[in-house]
Amino acid sequence: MNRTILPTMAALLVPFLLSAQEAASPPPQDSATPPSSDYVSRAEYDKLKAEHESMKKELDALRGIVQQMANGTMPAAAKEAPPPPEAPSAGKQVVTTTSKAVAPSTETEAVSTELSGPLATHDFSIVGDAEIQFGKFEHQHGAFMLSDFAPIFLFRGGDNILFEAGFDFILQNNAPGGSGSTTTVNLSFATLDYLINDYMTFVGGNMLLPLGTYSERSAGWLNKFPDAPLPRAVLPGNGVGVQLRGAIPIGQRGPSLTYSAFVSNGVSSVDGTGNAAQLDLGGNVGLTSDGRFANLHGAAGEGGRIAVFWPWKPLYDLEVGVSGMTSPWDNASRRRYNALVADWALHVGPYVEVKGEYMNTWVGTDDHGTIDPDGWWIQAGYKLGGLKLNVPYLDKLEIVGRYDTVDDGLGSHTHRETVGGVYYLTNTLWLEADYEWASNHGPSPGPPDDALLFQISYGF
Amino acid sequence: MHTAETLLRGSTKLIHLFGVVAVAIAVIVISFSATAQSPSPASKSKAETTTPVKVESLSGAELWAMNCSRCHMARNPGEFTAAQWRTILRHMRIRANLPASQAKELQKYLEAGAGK
Repeated sequence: MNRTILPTMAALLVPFLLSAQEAASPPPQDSATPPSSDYVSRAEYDKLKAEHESMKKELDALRGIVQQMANGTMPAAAKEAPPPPEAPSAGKQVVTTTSKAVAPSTETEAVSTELSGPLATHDFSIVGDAEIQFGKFEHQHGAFMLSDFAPIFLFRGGDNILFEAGFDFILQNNAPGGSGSTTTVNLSFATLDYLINDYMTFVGGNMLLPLGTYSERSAGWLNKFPDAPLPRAVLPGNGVGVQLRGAIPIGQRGPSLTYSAFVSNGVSSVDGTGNAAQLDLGGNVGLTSDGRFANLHGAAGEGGRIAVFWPWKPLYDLEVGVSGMTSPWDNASRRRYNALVADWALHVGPYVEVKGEYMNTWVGTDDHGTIDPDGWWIQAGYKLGGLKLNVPYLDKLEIVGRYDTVDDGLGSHTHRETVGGVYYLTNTLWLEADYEWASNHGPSPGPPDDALLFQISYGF
Repeated sequence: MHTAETLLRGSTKLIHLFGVVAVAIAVIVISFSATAQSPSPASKSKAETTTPVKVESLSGAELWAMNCSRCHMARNPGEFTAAQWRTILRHMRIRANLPASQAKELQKYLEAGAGK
């Protein structure tokens, strides 16, 4: 560990030493001005003060990164020096250090990082995640119950286009009485994205809907729990349609206003009626089983999200968002599904994270009037590395807890408490262990009362 | 029942209002972008006579720590090649709604330390 950290820390400190040396050296004399006395001018003082403040902030950021590297919860920064922008000419000595990799950039956007020519026209990459899960539920045998492989295929076309498609390959036993098992392949999302300008991107296809943040940030190696929060069941996760999204920076120190606005086919009804039990949040993809193309009802769904991301320094930030959706859902388009979601996420240094969502929906129905399924969840995590115990195994452990609750609007209410831990073998390979207590009231079946879950998560 | 129907109509109106606000933001963004790309003569002359106030922007390393750790453990720049980073950064710019200026600075930082 020390062999890795010490050179890295040394590399990270090089730019500061260089900067400090520059700051300590006298400024060059301007031939038009008289020689300076023992006193500095106001302009010189302000310049040095600004440089000092800038270095302090960057040092704070790098301290956080180095601390995480020491705890094994963050990868080492780039060890290799960045390549020089141009090949050195003969006779010139080029000193290359890691300083460019970490030093504040003073370059302007005039420097394009995009390649040009045939080599830059396209590129294909695969990222994603994989999970193996073991579960023991109350009154049931324990089992290895999930083997999930979820690749995301990325195809970059030219300077402005990206095609991305995410899949879930899942294996499950065949129905009772049947032999063998079945592999299912789900298309999580598939979109064609076009960067219109710096502030707006067009997204079209099967989209993860920006209702809250969970649907877009729920991959196995992003979620610190093996399962999803219960109230996500009252929201659609996907929709087929188009979307405009983007971000507007607020100043140059990191804060930004982000937005997403979409139009999709909307949610639908299983049998076409407006009866509450027939609400189908995951259907209506535009292609029906008899080969026809059609929205199952007469109007589209629409919605979006607006959020503010406000970091006050690296690893310290708050994100608050509000999102919503409205859509007819029965075939006659007489009944509407409406949803409003508030989400938040707070990071206090490299060790503390708190986030959650509140969602409320209003569903007009034929048989129950307007029902309002709703729920909320909150989770917190604390990395024990923050205790500075310097115990190798404990330092890589994060203690997590979650409370989630959902009301289906038809008389059933479920709440659940979860405690557990995440052990970081590497920055992308985790071991998760959780114990859940659930309590269900009402006619609809809820999750098991007690569950013990283990999961290995890998992001690639 | 009357209260529930009123609530449903109210929430529908609220979400429509939300949509109008989102579209308004989109229009403002497009307008802002168009203005930024083609400054008017008046704005040019103003820019020439006004001393710009320089605000120190964040480095790639700071943006790396600030943005990547919001949702997942930050990836080592050496884990991917420069070409892969270009694709992944485009994916993350869209998925995480990163401002373009930050995404470009991040890209420079990650490509600088990219694997071979």
